[in-house]
Amino acid sequence: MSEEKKLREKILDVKNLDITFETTAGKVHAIRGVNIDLYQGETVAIVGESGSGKSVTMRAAMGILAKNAVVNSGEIIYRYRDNVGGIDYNPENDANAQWKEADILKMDKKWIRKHINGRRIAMVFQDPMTSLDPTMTIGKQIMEGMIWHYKIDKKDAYNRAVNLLKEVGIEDAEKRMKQYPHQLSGGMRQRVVIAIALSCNPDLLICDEPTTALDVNIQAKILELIKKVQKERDIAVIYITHDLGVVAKVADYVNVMYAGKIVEVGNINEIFYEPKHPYTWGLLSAMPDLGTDDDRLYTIPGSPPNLLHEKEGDAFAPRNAYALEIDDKLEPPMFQISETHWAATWLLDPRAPKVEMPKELKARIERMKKEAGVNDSKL
Amino acid sequence: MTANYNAEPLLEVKGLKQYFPVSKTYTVKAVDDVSFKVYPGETYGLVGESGSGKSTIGRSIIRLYDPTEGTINFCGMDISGKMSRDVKEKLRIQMQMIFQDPMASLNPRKKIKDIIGEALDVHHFYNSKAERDQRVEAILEKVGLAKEHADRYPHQFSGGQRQRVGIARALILNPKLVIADECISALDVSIQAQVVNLMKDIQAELGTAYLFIAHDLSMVKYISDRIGVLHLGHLLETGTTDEIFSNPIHPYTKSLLSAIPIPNPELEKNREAINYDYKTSGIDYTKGTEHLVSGSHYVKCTDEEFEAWTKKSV
Amino acid sequence: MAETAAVLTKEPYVPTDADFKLKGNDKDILVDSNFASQSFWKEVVARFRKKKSAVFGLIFVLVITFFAFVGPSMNSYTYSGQDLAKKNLAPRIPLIEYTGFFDGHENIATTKGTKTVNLYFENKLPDTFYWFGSDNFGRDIWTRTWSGAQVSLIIAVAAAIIDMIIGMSYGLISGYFGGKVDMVMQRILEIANGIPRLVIVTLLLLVFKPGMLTIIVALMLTEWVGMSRIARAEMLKLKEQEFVLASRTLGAGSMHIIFSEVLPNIIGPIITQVMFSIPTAIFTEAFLSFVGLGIPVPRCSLGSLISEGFNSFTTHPYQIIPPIVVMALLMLSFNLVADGLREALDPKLKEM
Repeated sequence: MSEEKKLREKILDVKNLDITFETTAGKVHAIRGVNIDLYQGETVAIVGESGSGKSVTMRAAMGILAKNAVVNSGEIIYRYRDNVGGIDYNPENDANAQWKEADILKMDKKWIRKHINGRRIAMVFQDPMTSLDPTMTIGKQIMEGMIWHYKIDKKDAYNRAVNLLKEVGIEDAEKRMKQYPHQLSGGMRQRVVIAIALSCNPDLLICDEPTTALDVNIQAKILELIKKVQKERDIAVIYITHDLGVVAKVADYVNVMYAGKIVEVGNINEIFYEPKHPYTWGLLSAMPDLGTDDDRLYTIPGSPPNLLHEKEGDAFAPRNAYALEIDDKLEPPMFQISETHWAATWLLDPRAPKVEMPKELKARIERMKKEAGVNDSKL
Repeated sequence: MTANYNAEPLLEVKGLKQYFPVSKTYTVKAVDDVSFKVYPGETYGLVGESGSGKSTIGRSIIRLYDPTEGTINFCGMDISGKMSRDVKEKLRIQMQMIFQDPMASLNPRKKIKDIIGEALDVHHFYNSKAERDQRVEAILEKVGLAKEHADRYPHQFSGGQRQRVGIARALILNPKLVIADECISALDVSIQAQVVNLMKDIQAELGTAYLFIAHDLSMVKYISDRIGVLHLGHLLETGTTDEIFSNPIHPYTKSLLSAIPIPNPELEKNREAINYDYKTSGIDYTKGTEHLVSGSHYVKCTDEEFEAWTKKSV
Repeated sequence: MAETAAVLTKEPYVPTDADFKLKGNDKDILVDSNFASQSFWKEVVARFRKKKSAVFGLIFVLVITFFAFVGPSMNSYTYSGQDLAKKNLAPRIPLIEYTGFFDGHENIATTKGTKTVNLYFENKLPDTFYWFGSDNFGRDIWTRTWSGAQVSLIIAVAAAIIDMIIGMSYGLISGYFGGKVDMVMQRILEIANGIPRLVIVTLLLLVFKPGMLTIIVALMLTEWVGMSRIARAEMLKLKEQEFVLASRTLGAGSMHIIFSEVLPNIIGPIITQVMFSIPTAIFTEAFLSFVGLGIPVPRCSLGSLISEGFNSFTTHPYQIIPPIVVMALLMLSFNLVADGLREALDPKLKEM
């Protein structure tokens, strides 16, 4: 890797995104001012309960929002290297490459399909069975994208596909090329989906709950695989998940999302060892932990909000054991805690009473820090 | 906890086999010679990956399937063969099930009070409509819902609330055993904890025994007194939660334990899960017999395997 | 840790110190704002209304139904009243006749070429108006068209509903029990389906008097097969669903599960199928009447009217037009409504 690349190049910048869905039941304000930065080669996780808007945000970035979505404001700036003209990049002529940018929300569907979907930004979905075509061989499905995007001939595509299958850890690649999805196990299928996603050399891989439908032992293997290819290819990865265990394994930065807003963002250690938002506290405490013998898990009471009925002030207040009076009146701004760590809770206001995280969580974090050999100076 | 190990076992499964003939020459052996006991008031966790036969066991026990072989003893009745009317009625009252998908397990066209009250209707457990309503309201309150919810439809609830309704339906007849078939795996992690806590509270109050079926060992640890590890239809290892977690013997159990993500990034980043592949492991499940490790901790393997595994772990 | 600092500055509400107090939410707050709360049928109506062609079809169905029941009594003629003195008169409508249309004139082909005549004046009938003309027995085509439409509608709707009941129950039971029961029931169905409809009707007519009831029975005997296939397919899809299993573990009986658990969930495809089977029934009835196996004279249906009009099609083409137009509109509208209902009841497109 050259020195230049270490200069964290930003490749995706979601600015103040605000999206409403017009449904038969009324308007659903699904995304309420979301900001996300993503740098080349890094991993960002978006964590939240179902219905928090994490998938919608990423669909917007892929330009595949449902028809009834209305983008009220915001930009999704995608930055790419270019030395050919248009959006193509020829790695052999790297010296002439320049960084250019485009706002995905302003581009037309055809342009997005040609330049972005699959080619620059690829997606791995939750259920490998439904994201593969059951009537097409594995080989054909991997080759399809390459042939369509790069206009290479079939033979070339075939060789590349075999190599991809090997790269994602599938043995007997040549034999698998001729098989159909139903002949593979769940874990294998997800490996194939990853191979398809990688087939067009994307800069960015979006993984939407990539392991939720899989067994735990396969989940671990798939996550390790994604990590491996990310390192080898120096691509950026966005994980969308509700499981903080997954996040701990893979992410560099974490965005915690609640009711269409990002409520806490920070690097992985800040979120896991120094969480500031009560919602993050709740998420962390609800994770079962093998090291303690607590009889009960601390949980976040209640259910995720219904975005059909918007609430004044902080959307999390009704479920928040540490809610302040102000939370019902005014939405908290993002308070900065460190260079990378921000949280949207009034508890960080200097006027607020001093509130500590739940003591069970504190004890657990202390223990974990000790196990991992982390001290405060490292944060 | 409330488990009573001195009493007769509430449920005793012996040599259960459940085969599904696919064609004349091919039979799927979903469950192959599984035996275990569940005592009154305890929680027995059944863990395994998809295809391990864990859900099939649950469904065979509650007699959604007819077992191919083996005996199932429940409350002193044999429920594995053809049941008399009386035994059937008792089984349907004393054993209930909570299902995996909180949306699919509730009839979308029925009101909550009719979903929960169905059991009462079927067994004619009330004298007046008012009594039925009152019993439904009482159980709703117990699972943390309000009586106003009784008139709503399933789609008007969140996933966690729907699962509470599923629990209420299973509990309204006051059963002795509840089979929870992956009842939390479709929920968000934060909501899973709510449901597990609720089930624990109810157990403490009513003394219901649970057969808790899951693929995720981490939640099973919180709720179970004893655990059985299933793979490919065989019960490989069983013991108390402590025994399994602190001293796993079978390599498959070890791989399952190592796959559980730990919310500790500095450790987790560099940790790799243990690989386990039955085909290449050289273990033949059908040859294994039960070996006692200690206390109530059993492993199914051959004598040589047992020696090798226990030696390593010392 | 870095110092905390508020970043956003513009506030619509200026918080006071008093606002920074813990609200004292305790650990077990039971939160519940109403979740997505629209009833199933409200959404169906909303989706149906979005589809213009379906609304259009529904309006036409209602208009035709209205005329089918009110139309025959809108003038003084009856469907069977003959007046040979007034036969084969072209359409004539008061007031509109002054525009030159519907004034009673027609072109008659003779050996010396076509000539335009107005039989109302030639036969000295200045006060007689046949809105759609009269047939060659002097019967009013307006009255006959609408009473024919009425007969067709009654037959079609009755047949469709009876189909629904028989076919649905048959399919549901066959699908639910599966195994041997299903095997036997499906073979019976195939035999029933194998006998041509015309054979059944002809045989029936040997036994029963020709008439409305006979045609309904004939339609019933053949049409239920389609419905039962749909009901069976839906049942196979639903019977492994967890809510059905839940009912079974509660000890509910088979009939309870079939009719009160599963049936409400497949009402969508069933209604759609009924709507599609109505135009088929109308067409079948028309076909039977056309070949003379239908409604006995002097009663009429759209099919028998078309059959009669067909005989004088070359000389008096106006006689065949009204029943054909009504039937075409009826079939098209029912299909449009069925199509709209199918989408409204079973939306493939998710909203988010």
